[in-house]
Amino acid sequence: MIDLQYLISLFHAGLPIWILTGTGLVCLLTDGLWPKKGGTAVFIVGFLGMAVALFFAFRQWLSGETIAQDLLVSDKATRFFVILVIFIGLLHLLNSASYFRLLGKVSAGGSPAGRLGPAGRLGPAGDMVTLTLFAVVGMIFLFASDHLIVNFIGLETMSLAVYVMVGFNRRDVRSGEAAMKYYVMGSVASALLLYGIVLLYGAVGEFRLSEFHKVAIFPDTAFLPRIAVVLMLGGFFFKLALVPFHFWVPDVYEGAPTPVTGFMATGVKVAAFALFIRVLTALNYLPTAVVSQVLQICVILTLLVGNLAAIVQDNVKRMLAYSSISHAGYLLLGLSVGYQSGKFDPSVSSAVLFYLAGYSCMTLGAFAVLSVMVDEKREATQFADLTGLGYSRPVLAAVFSLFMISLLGVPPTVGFAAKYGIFSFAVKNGFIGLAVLGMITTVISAYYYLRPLVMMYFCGAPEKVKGGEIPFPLMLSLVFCAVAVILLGIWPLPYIDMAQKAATAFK
Amino acid sequence: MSEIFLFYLFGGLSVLMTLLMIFQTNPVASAIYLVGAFFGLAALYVLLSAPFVAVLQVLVYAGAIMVLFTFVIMLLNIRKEELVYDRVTWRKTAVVLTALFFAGFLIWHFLKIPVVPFAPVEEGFGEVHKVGRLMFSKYLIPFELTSVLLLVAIIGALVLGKKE
Repeated sequence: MIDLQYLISLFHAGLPIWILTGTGLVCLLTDGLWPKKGGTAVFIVGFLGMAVALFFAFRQWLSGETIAQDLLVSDKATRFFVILVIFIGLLHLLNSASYFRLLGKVSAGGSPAGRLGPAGRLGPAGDMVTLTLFAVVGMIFLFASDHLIVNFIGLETMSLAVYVMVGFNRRDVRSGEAAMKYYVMGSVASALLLYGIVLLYGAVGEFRLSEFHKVAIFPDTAFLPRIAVVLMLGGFFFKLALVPFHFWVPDVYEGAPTPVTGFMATGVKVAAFALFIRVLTALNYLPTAVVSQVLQICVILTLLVGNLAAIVQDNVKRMLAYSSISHAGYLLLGLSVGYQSGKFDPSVSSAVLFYLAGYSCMTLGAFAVLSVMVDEKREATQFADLTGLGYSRPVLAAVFSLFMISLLGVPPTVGFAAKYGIFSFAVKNGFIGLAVLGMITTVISAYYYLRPLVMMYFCGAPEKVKGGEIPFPLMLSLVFCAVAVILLGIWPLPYIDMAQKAATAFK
Repeated sequence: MSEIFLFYLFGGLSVLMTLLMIFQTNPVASAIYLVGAFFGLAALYVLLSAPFVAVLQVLVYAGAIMVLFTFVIMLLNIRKEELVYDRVTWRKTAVVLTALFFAGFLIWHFLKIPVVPFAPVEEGFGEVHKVGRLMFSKYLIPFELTSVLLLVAIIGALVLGKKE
């Protein structure tokens, strides 16, 4: 006996998700039916599907009513993250659309580059589009449910898709190595997280985070939540690339195809942070008083290691990998200051939500620029490759400078507004030490964020012009990111307001 | 009483088989011992009144997945000289000691929990009928999401394994 009413409400609650999943399936079919033109057709289908899903996600956000649903949360917080994640997916589609053509390589999903029409008019690799769609579906389920098992399956869906995307560039050994490394380390992290979830279930007899306030912990089993939380934190810290669990980050970020690196640095992190805030909120009801200390230690380590190690890199992708580690540190700082006398106050996370949105725009933009940096069929992402870019490619260099300045956190970019929000919460809640550390490390980060600018403008003319022409999809993404970085920087109030509405929905 | 006896019998069997699996140098022997461990686990599921899960455990893990395992081992084509024990290094010792410490910590705490008899399960618990009904009603979302997960795995295998 199927409950029709239940299915209908389920349909309305998760409309963007069903659209995304359906589009993924249609993409698979399109790829099979038109193998010759597959890439471009799949790209168009995937892009339109995502745009429609975004439209419905936005309509859900505006409608305001929350649809109570088993296993599928549809509150303001979830909707905020759904919109953000779909945006990231869209930008990733644009970024990766012409990357493999620029590399002049055979795309793994389509036919060889030369065979499709004149002058290598190869579209995007079809499988990349499909995998992106399913990765976004996984990301949404990672936080759009309060049932830990659903979260875990979402995590695995996302991770599997991203593992494959990392290894997509099969001609490049580093890409395969990165995929293997990420796969092995990611599986260990997933196992840690799953073991933590299971132990937590053993302790409280409940998978639903929203039911945690009802459970009673007996003194005999009080040790179990503590161990479970330690294991779960390990899993989370890996996915968020925080410092004791960061060793895989530089190699994987360097080896992965550049657009995929951007996707990993933003999408995976955003989704993991969304679930992390939900879990931290639910843990308030368990005797886990030391979590805030653990988070603070992790913040200190992450800020120091991430910022100091970024200084000595000579590859821009590696530098951005460490930069993404340190940004995860700032985000975690924003969460750890939410602890007042051992309880986590989720309304503080509004600053983190705004930071995530801004960070996604500037990081995706920076990686979009790097996606163009190709020389003789290889990625040219060493610092030396940027020499004189300000004269040979003035627009590209200017946009890249904008993203670097924003990552550093200089007004009037979004980087400043976001960091200001986090530090002001830290000072308001009495975490002066962490705020000062954050400011000092920001100053340190000026060295490595300004170094590309020095290379581009003050190191003489380039020997040869590096990088391909900017394809149309990538230009769209660059313009969007640049406009967003400036707009969110000079007029952040409506978006901060959105973030606050979303943050108060966590409870 | 007999339930406790059976629990220790099959639990011990799985632990023993798992240890044997780890200490083999021959991967095929390891795989066979892993099958043994899976059978022990399946028996434990029966004791927990979850016969359907037990059957699946045998069918899927001990059957299908182990066939794949042995296939992969065969395709690896490992020579006999390569089958030696790992060298003992400080690093590995440290890892093993940490793991043992953690295991001991867990066991020590678990032993302190008093044994409480569970409430008897309802009629038909753990049978195909009940499990199937739950899967397609209450747990519809995770069930369907799992199929997306498997689809992604298939696409991934194709993308990475296809000839260029």
